[in-house]
Amino acid sequence: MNKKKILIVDDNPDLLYLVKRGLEHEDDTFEVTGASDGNTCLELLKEDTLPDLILLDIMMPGMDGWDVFAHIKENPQWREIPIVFLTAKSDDYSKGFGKLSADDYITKPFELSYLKERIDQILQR
Amino acid sequence: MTAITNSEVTKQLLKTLIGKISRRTSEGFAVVTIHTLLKVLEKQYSFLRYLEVNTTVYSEGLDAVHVNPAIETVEPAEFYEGLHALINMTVKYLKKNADFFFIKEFQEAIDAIPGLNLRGEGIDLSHMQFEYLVKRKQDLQTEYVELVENVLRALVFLLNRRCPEREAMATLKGIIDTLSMKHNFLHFITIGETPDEDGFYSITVSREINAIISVSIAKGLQELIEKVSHAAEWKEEGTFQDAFKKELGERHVLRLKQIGADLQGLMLVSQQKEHQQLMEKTMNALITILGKRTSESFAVASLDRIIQKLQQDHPVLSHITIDNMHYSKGIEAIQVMDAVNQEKPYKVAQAIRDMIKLGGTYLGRNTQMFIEDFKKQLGDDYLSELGRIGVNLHFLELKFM
Repeated sequence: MNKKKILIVDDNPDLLYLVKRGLEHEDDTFEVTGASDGNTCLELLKEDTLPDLILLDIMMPGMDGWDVFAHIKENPQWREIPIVFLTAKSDDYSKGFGKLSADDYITKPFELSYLKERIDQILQR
Repeated sequence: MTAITNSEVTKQLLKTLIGKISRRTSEGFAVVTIHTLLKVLEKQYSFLRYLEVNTTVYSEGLDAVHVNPAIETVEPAEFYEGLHALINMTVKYLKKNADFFFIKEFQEAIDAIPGLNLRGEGIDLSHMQFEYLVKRKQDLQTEYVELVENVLRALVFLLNRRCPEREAMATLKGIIDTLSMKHNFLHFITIGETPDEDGFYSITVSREINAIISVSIAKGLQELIEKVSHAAEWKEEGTFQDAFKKELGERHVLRLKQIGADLQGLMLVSQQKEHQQLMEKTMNALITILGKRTSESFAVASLDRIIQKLQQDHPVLSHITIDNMHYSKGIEAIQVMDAVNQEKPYKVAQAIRDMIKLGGTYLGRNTQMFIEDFKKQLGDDYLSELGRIGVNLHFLELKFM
């Protein structure tokens, strides 16, 4: 059975660990890879296997999530990968345009079960 | 002789007057007006003190007019002269609120009162109507000559700011000659091509212009102003339209408006924006607003998404190309093709409106702020162009309230 490959991009190692552990532990169909910044994310995407979905933080040192999003979307091979913003930024502008442009916008803190539910819904589309 | 009493005549006449004035203003205004005029005329026609208009208690159904029975002792000659004076003064007092139809309606209402024959008593309302029309026509005619002359002088003055007077006069003459094929009344204008011995160029408007109906003059002048604005290639501070209004003066600007010239809606070529410019400016404004809160490249990607979502409903958006391989180039990744200029303004308007609307629907309570930001970013010139082609941002704001 093919595993659902998730790439999570966040500069907080605790969150990377929690999401990876939570999703994989709960459901062995998940395979979660973590990237601690935007550049690492883009490097990982250049590898052979593309993720099925990307969870993307916005406020990160170096390249922020907005720019990472734009970089992903400007690459024809990557632009179809669903992106979910996973962020503490909860202002209406970020939320509104994040939701409009990405596949979803989830604000921290979040329930792991809710995250899993949203991922499943998006992957089933 | 009329078959009804003085008391009944005055009561009916005042009630009819109040009713007709109320229709054009308000009942309160009508009652106060009649009360005031009666007080003024009392000095000349003492019997009018027998008439009382209650200015505090009035409303439909309540009788505001009270007549002292002593009025029956007044001689018919004085009585009807006084009433005639009252009607005359009311028409004068009401000025523009008492138009031709006011007197006509008043006459019809009076004619419908059984037994009352005002004409037989020397009050000829038809004659009043005729006098009103003659005076109104005279007023308008005098103003036409003066108005057209002043418009022409204002236009020459503005042209002269851009080129020598001789050239300005020649330009104006050329435009008038061209437009006179379409607007006949322009034949009544003579523009001196050479200065007189005192060095002045003459502008003469023949009185024959008075025979032209106002709407034709308004249309012709409006087009003349538009053409001159184009010829002037206005590059000075402020718009040509504002400079023209300032030069023409408030009284004549008002008069132009009254005869039906729409100065606000003038399609001044120097101000008119092409759809391409407008679209570019709209894109720019959206990218700036969104880019400030996210990043420029994300803003471009987001706008691309908006356009993709709307393109099916608005094919006009296909004239916008966003280089989706280079969002990071920011605004430079967006190009608006000049083919958009061939599109109907309402189609461009609907597309722009829906782009803003779509953004707004995702912003929740911040929508109004978003639209306000958009207006600021766009600037007044483009904002009025948006309004001209039919994008009502105020209406959008209300929709999201």
